[in-house]
Amino acid sequence: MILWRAGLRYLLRHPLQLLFAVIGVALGVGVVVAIDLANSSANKAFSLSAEAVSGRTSHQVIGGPAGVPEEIYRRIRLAPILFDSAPVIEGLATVTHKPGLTLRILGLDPFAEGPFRDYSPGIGRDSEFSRLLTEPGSIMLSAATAGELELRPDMQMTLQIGGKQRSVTLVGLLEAPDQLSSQALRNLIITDIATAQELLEQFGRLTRIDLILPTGAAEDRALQQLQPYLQPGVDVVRADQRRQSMAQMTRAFQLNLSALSMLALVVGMFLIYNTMTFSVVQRRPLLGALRTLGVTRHEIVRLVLVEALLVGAAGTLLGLLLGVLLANGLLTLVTRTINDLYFVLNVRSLSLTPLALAKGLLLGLGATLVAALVPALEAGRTAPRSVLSRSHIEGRGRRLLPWAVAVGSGLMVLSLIGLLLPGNSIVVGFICMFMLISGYALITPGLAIWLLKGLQAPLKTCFGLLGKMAVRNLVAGLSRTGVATAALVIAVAATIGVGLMISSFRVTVDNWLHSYLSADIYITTQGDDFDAGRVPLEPELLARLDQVAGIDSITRARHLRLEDAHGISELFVAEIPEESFAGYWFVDGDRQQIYREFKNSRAVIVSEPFAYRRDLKRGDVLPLRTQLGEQEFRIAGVFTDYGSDQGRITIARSLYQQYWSAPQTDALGIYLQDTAETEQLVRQLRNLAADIQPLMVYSNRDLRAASLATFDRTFAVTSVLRILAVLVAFVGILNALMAMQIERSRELAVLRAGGLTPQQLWLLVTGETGLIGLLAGLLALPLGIAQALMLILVINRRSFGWSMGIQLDPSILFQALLLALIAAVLAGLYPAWRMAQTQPAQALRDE
Amino acid sequence: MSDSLVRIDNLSKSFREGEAVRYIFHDLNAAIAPGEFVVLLGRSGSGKSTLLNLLSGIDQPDRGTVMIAGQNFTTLSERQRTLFRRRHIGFIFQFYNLIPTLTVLENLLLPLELIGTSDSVARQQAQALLDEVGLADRADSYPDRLSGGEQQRVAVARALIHRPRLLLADEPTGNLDAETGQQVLNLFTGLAQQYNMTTLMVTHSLEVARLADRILTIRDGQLFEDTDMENRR
Amino acid sequence: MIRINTYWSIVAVCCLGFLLAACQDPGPSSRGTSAGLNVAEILGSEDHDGFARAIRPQSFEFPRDHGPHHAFRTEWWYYTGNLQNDDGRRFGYQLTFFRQALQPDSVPRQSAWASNQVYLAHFALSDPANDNFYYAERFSRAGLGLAGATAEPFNVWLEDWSAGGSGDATLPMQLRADSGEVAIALELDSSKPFVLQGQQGLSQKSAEPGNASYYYSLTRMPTTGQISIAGNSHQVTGSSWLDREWSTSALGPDQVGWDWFSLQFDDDRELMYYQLRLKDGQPDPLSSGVLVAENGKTTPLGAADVRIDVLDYWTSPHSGGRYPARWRLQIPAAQLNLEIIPLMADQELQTSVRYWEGAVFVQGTRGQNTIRGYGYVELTGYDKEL
Repeated sequence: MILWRAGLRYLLRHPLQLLFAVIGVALGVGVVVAIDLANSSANKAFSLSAEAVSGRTSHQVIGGPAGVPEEIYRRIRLAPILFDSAPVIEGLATVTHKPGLTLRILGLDPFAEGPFRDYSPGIGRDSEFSRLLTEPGSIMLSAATAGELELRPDMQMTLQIGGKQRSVTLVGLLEAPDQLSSQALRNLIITDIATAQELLEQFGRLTRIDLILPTGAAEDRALQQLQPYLQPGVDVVRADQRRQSMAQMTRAFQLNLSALSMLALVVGMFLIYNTMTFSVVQRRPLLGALRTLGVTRHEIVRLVLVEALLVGAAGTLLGLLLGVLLANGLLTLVTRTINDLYFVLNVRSLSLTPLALAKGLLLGLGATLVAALVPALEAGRTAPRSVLSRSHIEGRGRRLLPWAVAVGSGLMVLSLIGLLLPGNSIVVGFICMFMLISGYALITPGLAIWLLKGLQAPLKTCFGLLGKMAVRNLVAGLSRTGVATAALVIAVAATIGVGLMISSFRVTVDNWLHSYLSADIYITTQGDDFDAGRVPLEPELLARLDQVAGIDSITRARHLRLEDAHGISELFVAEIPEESFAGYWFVDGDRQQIYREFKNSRAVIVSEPFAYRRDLKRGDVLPLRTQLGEQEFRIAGVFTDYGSDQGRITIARSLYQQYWSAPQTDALGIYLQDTAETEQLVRQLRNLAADIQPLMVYSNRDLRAASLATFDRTFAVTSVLRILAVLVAFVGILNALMAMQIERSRELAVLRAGGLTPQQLWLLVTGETGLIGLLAGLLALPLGIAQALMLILVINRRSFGWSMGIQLDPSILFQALLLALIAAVLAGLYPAWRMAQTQPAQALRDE
Repeated sequence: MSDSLVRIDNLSKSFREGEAVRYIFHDLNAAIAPGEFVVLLGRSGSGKSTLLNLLSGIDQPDRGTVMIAGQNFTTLSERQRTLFRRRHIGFIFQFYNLIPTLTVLENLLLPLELIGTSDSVARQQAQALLDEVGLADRADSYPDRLSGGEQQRVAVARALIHRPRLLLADEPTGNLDAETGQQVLNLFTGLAQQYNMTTLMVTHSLEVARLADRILTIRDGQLFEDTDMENRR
Repeated sequence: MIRINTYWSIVAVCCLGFLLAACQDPGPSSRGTSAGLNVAEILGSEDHDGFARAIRPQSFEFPRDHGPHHAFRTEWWYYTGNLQNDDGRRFGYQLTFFRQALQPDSVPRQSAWASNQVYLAHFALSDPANDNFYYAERFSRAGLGLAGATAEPFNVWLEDWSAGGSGDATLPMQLRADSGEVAIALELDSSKPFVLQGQQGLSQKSAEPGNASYYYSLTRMPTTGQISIAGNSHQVTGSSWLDREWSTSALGPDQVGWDWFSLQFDDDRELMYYQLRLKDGQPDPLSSGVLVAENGKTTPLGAADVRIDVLDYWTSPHSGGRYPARWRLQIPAAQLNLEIIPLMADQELQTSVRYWEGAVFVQGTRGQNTIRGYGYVELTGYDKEL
């Protein structure tokens, strides 16, 4: 089609513009696809490993912090109950010769497994089976995992389990019947249940009992049948519900990532809009000529849309590629955060589903179409033979300005109303945030003009007529500068918002750690992380500690997991002296009264995320599954805690002992007589334990640093997203401003012909773009701060239940301003250079 | 009257300029017979181009009717007028308005493509016409490589390629030196005659006006027929 | 009796229930697993180091020998019986407990689950009146008390299936099994003393020394109790048969299967005979059996004493295996001429190893007298895969 050739050649003749538009879309799509892939890969890994671990299980018998007594399983098996059941022990191990790799130990009873899970070994060598059952430390791995660990059958490796070294022998390989199971078997150590108990030191206990119960009415009957064989503290839950509540844990986190990635795409959309608008404005005479030749409006609209689509398609394809590349990196970050915050998840490979790629494609093309719609319609409205001059267009733009401001303000008000409405939907929170952003974007051109007009006088004083001209040019070129400014404002504001949120969060966490960590030295058993359910300390070690001089007092603590229908929470069993209790921040209530209740009555304190998630407040009653059956505990207080977004229930050690068994100890807080001796005592304690058990000994300062390091790791992915958004913004501003300046070639040539020196030209052009940058930077400040407030007060609270102080770190604001300015000035450099290079005569002739 | 190709009745047009309304013309009446070569004279801003726009249907009058080849433009929709235009009207501008991103040949092919001429036929016609305007060797050049006169020759060819019934020309020689202008004009009139086209040309040049069958002049929003043929001879 | 001696190495593999992707068709109850496995493959290489072997006859001592013999690799308690309810409707049942040692020695381990002993049980019920055959299979380790056997008091159990004495006494024995569809609760007494099979209880199965088992039987066990089929309970009486056998190795490399008969006649005599089949289809000369007189006196039978002709065949619609389905059995020296007819054709167990184990009716003559009776027949090695 000759008509389309005309359009396409136009794009090709402006390669720089084209390139930037393509890059803009590519970056936007890339970021979204990458996050989507990382998320879906993590989800897939989760569901695969959940499936691998639970198989066809319909229900599970779960217990208290100590798991399920194995006696219950024996009772069920010896009873005349006719449905399938299988015991399961789960645990985690790291491999000595492969640091950083966490394997999941799955202890099973092969005799009960048939109906539950299908993994297949190489049949034919019965010795594998016999060894698995009879030789201590025998394990099986999938061929892929064994390969990764460089293990062959009969080879040994050393595992780190709860800080202890355990030697295991690979007795056989599991052969997965299909690709899916082979993925599910990844990083799974299959052992006999006896071996698992020995490796994990879980004698007499199971992690859970898997059941396959009939469905429908028979389900209730089966549950009733089962009841007499259970005991207090042991419950039956539906496996899918349990899996769901596990999957739910990461939902908020993933949603946040997706929303942030959408921000990049929105900026990318502005880029497309800008490019297409620019191309339309620039081609107005051409379009007019086409119209006189008898090209209809529809054909023009279609032409522009097809052009945009081609740009969008190129950008989207590139974006998909970029997304896949980026996803590999992001996957590591996402998985690390999931591991730090939620549960151990091994995601080794990106799962490239056609769906994820199709979604990216649709999103990229859809965004392109939406963004190009306005310029396309605008092009269609072009009168034949360009009846209207540029000033007419600008005039119309200005007439639209009040409307834009009105709609923008309306959106912002709506967003505010949406936020004030009760409810804690994260999605609503994000919708409000995007409404605020779009609203602000709409009023940006108005604000820009207003600011520019204000700048006119001072600039004239400083730079003479040239200064005034720069401002006039910008005001006159509103149709482009407005959009460019809005795009820059959004991008810069996003970096401000996310940056302020992270820094506020970090400062809050740091303060909190200062206050919360009151002991001088902390000791805990070695493990991958600070996860609940770690190995207890050897009693002998506790005895030895009594001999150490210089210790004023010791508090003992135990981190346990407590699971119920709502999910998994951490049960923190602690001795808290009143001085340390003073370090807790309570949402409300009198600290002393809370302490009295906590210490002396049947009461617990719960963390803020826990209270938020369960909709609980001080004075409410919390039922907990104890060994004496379900018991109600009063909530004495709600305390601030950034350790886990799943929530923590802290219970006094003495109270725990009444309702469960005597707790072991996995962490100690040591208060010294003289804090000056801290470092020396840390060394002493390390030596003390060396021959008993590997320990982590932290000074107060070290633990704080380690905690903050974990915090930073958690937000690494957010920071990366922020940088990506900045990158898109940068390209956007470069593109918009450069296009604008190049379009003015002729005008600038006239100025040059009129006696403007190349230096003055440089000044004019970079001055103009710099002015836009400055303007955008300034306009981004309020939006950025508003966004930070929203993230802090609404999104984080709704997503994770965290509340935090607000810190307006001036350095972040300053950085943002600088970013905008630099991007803008850079954008002016090329056109200025080009114009300074070309002879005015040529430029005059060109158009 | 069915024997005139162009007929305007009581045509009025005004523009809004801020608060004020400026009348371009009032109750114009005119008719042009098929095959006639009519020149439109008038001072800058007298409304010549506006009249051309109204005749081509790219602008709409405030009042009155425009009939081209029996079609009443004022009753047609924007789309219908566009479709009519692409088939029956050719346009030549002072500033050529060639599509810069299409080659010379492609510029000629575009109007044919719009009316759905098959590709091979279109190419044949375009080549033949380029031959006639003496630019066969520049078929694959882009317009910006051509001189002004060459560009205007291409524009003439483009306006005629689809054999429109009405040719509208807006100062086609205004941007050219006298000699080149003459060349283009010769080409233009020659071809118009050859194809028996009705032509309405806006010009400031009395030289050109002399070639016309009739001269119309717009003055103070009124149309006058210049019957003084002596002026032209 | 050889019985499913080779099960043990099979069980070892197939107990990897979770490891078997092919564990489909779990049968009537799936509290275990089943799979089609190839017996012959597993016969091949076995390491007997560390296990005791049945080389010389030994003296049996009760109740000790009712209990498990962990020094041997394999052991079973094999109950079969023919029953009838008050209306004369006939039933057959089989309840078998197998024990298999995975390793000769057990390492002391901390987990209560750890065990080197594995148990397998088969439970089948034949209802020829409705042409229904029910069966179920279970596996378990001995650990955690999920399965096991004790001599004093006598008890062998796999989860809630069990065979045990009454209080401290071995007799009467109490049998309990429930597959969900069918269940039995039977009391078995014994009207005859133990029959020591083979050479004073040493039953040689193939030529190599040690390829033998210790083997005794209770050949006539008056039985009363209840069976229930799909919720319908029947009061039943009848007669059961117990085979007890333990060994470490038995079959030789050229043996492919066996036909085993246990028959109880209405003249209060019993006949046990097993015929080992060689690869070439011929009966192994080591095939043997015993005739038990009214007073419990036994007459050993050798391959030369018995002649068996197959009168009919039945092809399993499940496995495609072609099984003998009617026999003429002649023991000229005892003037026995018998025809053995299955109570129903389809008594094939689609368990980890497929075999046919079914209730039969027998009629014929002893000298001039007509005799009738019931019994059980086991046919292995007819699986198509062989």
